[in-house]
Amino acid sequence: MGSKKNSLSRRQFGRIVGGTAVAGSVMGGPWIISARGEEPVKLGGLFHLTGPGSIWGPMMQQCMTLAVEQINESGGVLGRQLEMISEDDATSTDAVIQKGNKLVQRDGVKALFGVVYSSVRAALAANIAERYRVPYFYPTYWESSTSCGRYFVSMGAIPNQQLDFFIPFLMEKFGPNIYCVGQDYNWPQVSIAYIEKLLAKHGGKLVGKEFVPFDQSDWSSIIQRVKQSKPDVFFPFIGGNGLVACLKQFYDFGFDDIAVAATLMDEMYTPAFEPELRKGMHCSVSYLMEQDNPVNRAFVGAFKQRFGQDAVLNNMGEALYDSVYVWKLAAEKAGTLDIEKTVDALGSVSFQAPQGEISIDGKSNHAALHQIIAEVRADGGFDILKDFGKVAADTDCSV
Amino acid sequence: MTQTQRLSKVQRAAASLVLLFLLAFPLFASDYQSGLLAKFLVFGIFALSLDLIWGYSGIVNFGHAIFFGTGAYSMGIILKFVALPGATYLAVIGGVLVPALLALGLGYLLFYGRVSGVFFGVVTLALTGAAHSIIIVNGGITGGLNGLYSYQTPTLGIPGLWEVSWYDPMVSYYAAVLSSVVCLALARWLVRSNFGRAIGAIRENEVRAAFMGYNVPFLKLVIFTIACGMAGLSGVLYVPIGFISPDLIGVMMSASVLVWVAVGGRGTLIGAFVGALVVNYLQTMLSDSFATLWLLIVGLFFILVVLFWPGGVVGLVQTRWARRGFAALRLEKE
Repeated sequence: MGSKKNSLSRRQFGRIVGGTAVAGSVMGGPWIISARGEEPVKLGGLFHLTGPGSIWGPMMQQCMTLAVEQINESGGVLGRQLEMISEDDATSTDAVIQKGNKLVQRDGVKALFGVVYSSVRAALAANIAERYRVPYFYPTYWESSTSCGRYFVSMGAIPNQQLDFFIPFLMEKFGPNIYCVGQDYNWPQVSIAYIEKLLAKHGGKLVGKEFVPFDQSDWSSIIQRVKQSKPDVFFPFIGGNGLVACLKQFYDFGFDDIAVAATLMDEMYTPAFEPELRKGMHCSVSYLMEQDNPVNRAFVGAFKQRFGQDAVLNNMGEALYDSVYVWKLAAEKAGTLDIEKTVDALGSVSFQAPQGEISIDGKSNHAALHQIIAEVRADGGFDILKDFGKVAADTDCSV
Repeated sequence: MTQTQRLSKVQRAAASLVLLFLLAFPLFASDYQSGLLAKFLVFGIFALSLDLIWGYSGIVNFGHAIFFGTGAYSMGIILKFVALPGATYLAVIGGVLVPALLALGLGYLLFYGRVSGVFFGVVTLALTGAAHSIIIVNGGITGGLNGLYSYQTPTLGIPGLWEVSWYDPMVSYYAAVLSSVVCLALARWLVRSNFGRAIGAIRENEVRAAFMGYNVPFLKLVIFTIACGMAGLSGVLYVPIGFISPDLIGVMMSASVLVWVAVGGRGTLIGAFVGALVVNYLQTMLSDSFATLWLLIVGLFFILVVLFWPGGVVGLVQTRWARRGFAALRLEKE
């Protein structure tokens, strides 16, 4: 029995050693990269391909793909081709850190792009971009206070860029009383405080403000309070599906004189509403697909040709497209792919974007963006009422 | 004959080999790979702490992430507001004690209130939502929905004399390895002690255990508190390699850890690490190659495991070994 037992153990032992070796090689396998001479320059894209932000991820991935392909067709950057490495961040802070680590440490990307959700952005900005000193371009509107820094480039509109002209416009068109409802986090809080300030300055009044949990789904009691205080304008700061649910319930209470205005009403949201509901909503954004200028016509044309006639993008996608070009221009200005010199050069870059000319303020690494006011038509398109041109970001952030 | 007694020669050899592999891993792996393995080990400790209560005392906790998140948040908040040399050690202690005390209070109410089985699970599930809201509402302290950051860099070593940043991949890696070994040893010692046997008796038949004179609520409270302190430690270890956000405390995280334990094998201790490693590695590998399909594949894998290997990966290996053991016994008799 003794010998039998031993041989058994040896077999098991061998199996364990073998298993460990196989596991080791499997774990090592995907990470082995062959070193070649002139490798393409790598850029990392992090997109909400799964999870609650997945309505935006694929569209943003398309916009970055388009920019990279166009740049490669026209000769690349400093004579080198670009390679876009895109990752799913699962709309989660844990996944974005892991994927960001991978992009920076394993792939050696020169810059990071993407993300919509605030918490995911904060994670990426603080724990990857700042820690490893890699520039990160964030393409979405935000409150401009939590993720400032040398390596964080704000390519989305911040409250002053969205509201400076919009609030006086709404007061003139509809009246001085505005009611705001926002989800309970930084962006709605800062934006609504900013509206309060603007209203005081222009002689209007915030007749009510409310903050709700992020996953609020029953809006009836809030809407009752809104209707009771009879504002001229109802102004929600609600991201994701919450906005659709809120506004649909808002109209369930009947149509009246209360106008609806939002900074986040865009091409991705209007299809969720029936024609009679969306008609007449007002928005303030930095970009719309229907902007009529040669750069935008070429951009939208190329986008539809590449991703299909029904493909839709919004200001986040356009900002992501711009971001890749802004990075390219900064690298060319610096004359090198060195990250520090590229970041230094950001402040001297200006780009003819689909929304119009944009530039980066080197003191805050915030983009100066267009402010456009538009009215939604019944067919889901936008009538552009005003384009105020390039508006600088008014922020306390500094690099 | 294989797993209930002391470790067999084979198991000891395997354990040494695994430990050697873990210690040597950073020598041949990149920082990214070491970072990944460190995270998987931290998740392993988290799963181990759930296995202690779920696998050994039969307490179903659908809100285990509360204690993981509380550990991480306690660490971050202490690092943010306490500017002392050696604040890191204070933060680590806080990161273990706060969740343990929370568990003590919560456990006292629930166990002495005779809340058990499914009802315990339902209550913990509801508490996950409450914890999530508490984090978001107290934005001034916790950073709200955006998460907590810009706290001082955690450092290990001797304060003022020789300090190393915990963000250093080597430091966070070896901290995770060391903690895994210590926690596993502690858990093993616990479940093999007389106390552990009493806990096992409660799991098998609570009423009978009470008749035999065991103070059931007290014993449950002790194991629950220890396990939640351990979950807090895993949260602490997660801070230097991850990001503190409400995600850590959420339903997803609580569900994930249940999956890791189920896949690895409930009530086996080492299965917690196997499950965390297998599931997370699979997720990483699949999401690298199939950006959108991976969730589906991981879900299918989980269903297959539950259907065909109810004992999890470790359970499968053990039954094989056990069967062979019986076969050998039969041979001997003949």
